[in-house]
Amino acid sequence: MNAPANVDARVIHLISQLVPVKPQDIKPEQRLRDDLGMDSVSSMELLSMLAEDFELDVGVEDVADVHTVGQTIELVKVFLAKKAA
Amino acid sequence: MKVLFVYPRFQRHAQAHPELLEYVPMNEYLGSPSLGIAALAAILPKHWDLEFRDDRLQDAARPTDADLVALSFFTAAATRGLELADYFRAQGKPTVAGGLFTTAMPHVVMEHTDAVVVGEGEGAWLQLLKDFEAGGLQRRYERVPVDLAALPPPKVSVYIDNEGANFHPDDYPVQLSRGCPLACHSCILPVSMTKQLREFTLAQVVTQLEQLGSKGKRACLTEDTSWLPGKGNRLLESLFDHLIAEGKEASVSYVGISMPMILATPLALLKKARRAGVKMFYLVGGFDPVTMKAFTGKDQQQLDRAYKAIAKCLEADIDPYTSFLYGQDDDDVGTVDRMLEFAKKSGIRKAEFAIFTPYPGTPSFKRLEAEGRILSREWYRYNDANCVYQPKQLTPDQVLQGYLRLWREFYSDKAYFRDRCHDERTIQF
Ligand code: B12
Ligand code: SF4
Repeated sequence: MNAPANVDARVIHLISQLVPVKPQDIKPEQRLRDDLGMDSVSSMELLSMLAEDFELDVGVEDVADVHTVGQTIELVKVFLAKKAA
Repeated sequence: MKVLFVYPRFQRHAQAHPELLEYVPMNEYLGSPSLGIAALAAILPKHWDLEFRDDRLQDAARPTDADLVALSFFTAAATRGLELADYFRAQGKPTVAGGLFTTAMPHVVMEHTDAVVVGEGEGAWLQLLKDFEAGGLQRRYERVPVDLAALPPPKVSVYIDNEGANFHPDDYPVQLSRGCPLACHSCILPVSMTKQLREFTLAQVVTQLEQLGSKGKRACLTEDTSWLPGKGNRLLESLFDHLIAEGKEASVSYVGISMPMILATPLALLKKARRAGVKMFYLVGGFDPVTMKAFTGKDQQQLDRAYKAIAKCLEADIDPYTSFLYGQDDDDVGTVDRMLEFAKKSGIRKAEFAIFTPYPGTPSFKRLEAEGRILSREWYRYNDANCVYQPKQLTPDQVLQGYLRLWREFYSDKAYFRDRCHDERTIQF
């Protein structure tokens, strides 16, 4: 399956590869841990997928405050902006 | 002044279940002690002498002329550690203890010792020595933040000088970092070493590799956190670059890793590890969401990902020596067959099998204790070779029988290992 083009959809697509939830059922307000059942190790995996997919230099040290799907999308946007600057 | 460091013995798999020696065509590997004592020895003030006793090699309960006895033990060695503490105190020797069990259960250890050190030890150790010299030893010392970049390399020569005919490890552990921001349910490291990932410098790591190399030893890079994206894997990658540039491919025996970390690591970095001389991963299972679900018969997504992880190691030409953990709540009797089938189909050549053990200080222990499911507090049985809690879908005896069957059947068609060279046939069991 081709990865979707816009940032929101691409992040959601990556999350859906780690949890048994379809992309269309993943919403920005959902919490990665409590709503989607991710644990700290799967969040680490998500982080690497984001780093690879968006070519970002982002590490575990940058994500202490990221808890929801929306915050994940925001993080990617901030790092993309940093990269472009 | 003189300190006697003591490393208490514990039961390995083949000691707890000698029948394993019949089934498993591998060498039993008596590994290095934890780096704990070597780390404390490295910062011992100059006016202190030291002696080291490894209780696995020779009974450590012998009289000593030391002024202070310092015990270091993890949970599997705690029963023996407390016994030794009683022995030395009965000899009138001031006795202190630290390490993972003491960190998790300081109140238990304090009943047997004059002082305990909770958590990462270097800072508290220096304070303890000062207080001891001044005659004011406190009962309990807490972790003092440690600047890793300022630490000398662990004095591993303490262990190497103690080697003998039956104990000469090929490799010794080298840490790239301490602390972990993740929270695996069965791991004590975020508690003992904090949740902050702190790296050593590349120069510190290289010095340790060179020191080991000069003694004909290799390094095992034990921390799976070395693969964490960001600070973790940047240091690891620069170490690989260094080894490739220096042509030092033979200096690392294995690197610790987990399936999610394999999946999360770009293939290019795994291939670089191989070029740096890494031929084997110690692939630890049972702590992470992939291996906890893959063999339950109920999660095809994680099973597929487990196959993908092994295929990725093989593609990078790195042998995944895999540790399977049996007996968790989602496991049933069928899990044994599923693990065996997976091992065979995925192409795993070497494996070890362990029983899920809720170690004190971990989230699992807390939860199971609250649920009244901890069945044993005989700490020597906390060695991944006994079932010490009540699983949901299995009896403790079913867990033990499943574990023995895993060892037996996995190795049943691998008698050829008996003729292989030492390196090929050596595992820890
Ligand atoms: C090397 C190693 C081994 C070695 C040595 C064991 C040992 N005694 O630790 C060997 C190969 C024997 C081994 C075996 C096993 N291991 Co092991 N091993 C490690 C590993 C990867 C590194 C240990 C190390 O060098 N740490 C670095 C040093 C510096 O840390 P430290 O020992 O905690 O010491 C510091 C403090 O605790 C304190 N301190 C320690 N002692 C003292 C003493 C005094 C007086 C003071 C003041 C301070 C102090 O100061 C030190 C410096 O800061 C750790 C993971 C880890 N990162 O710790 C797992 C670990 C210790 N192993 C573990 C397990 C489960 C096992 C096995 C059961 C695995 C298995 N599947 O069989 C077996 C043991 C039983 C068996 N059946 O064989 C668990 C421990 C569980 C627990 N809570 O006790 C760990 C933590 C892995 C994990 N993430 O869960 N292991
Ligand atoms: S098992 Fe590894 S990743 Fe998980 S908490 Fe322990 S050190 Fe961190």
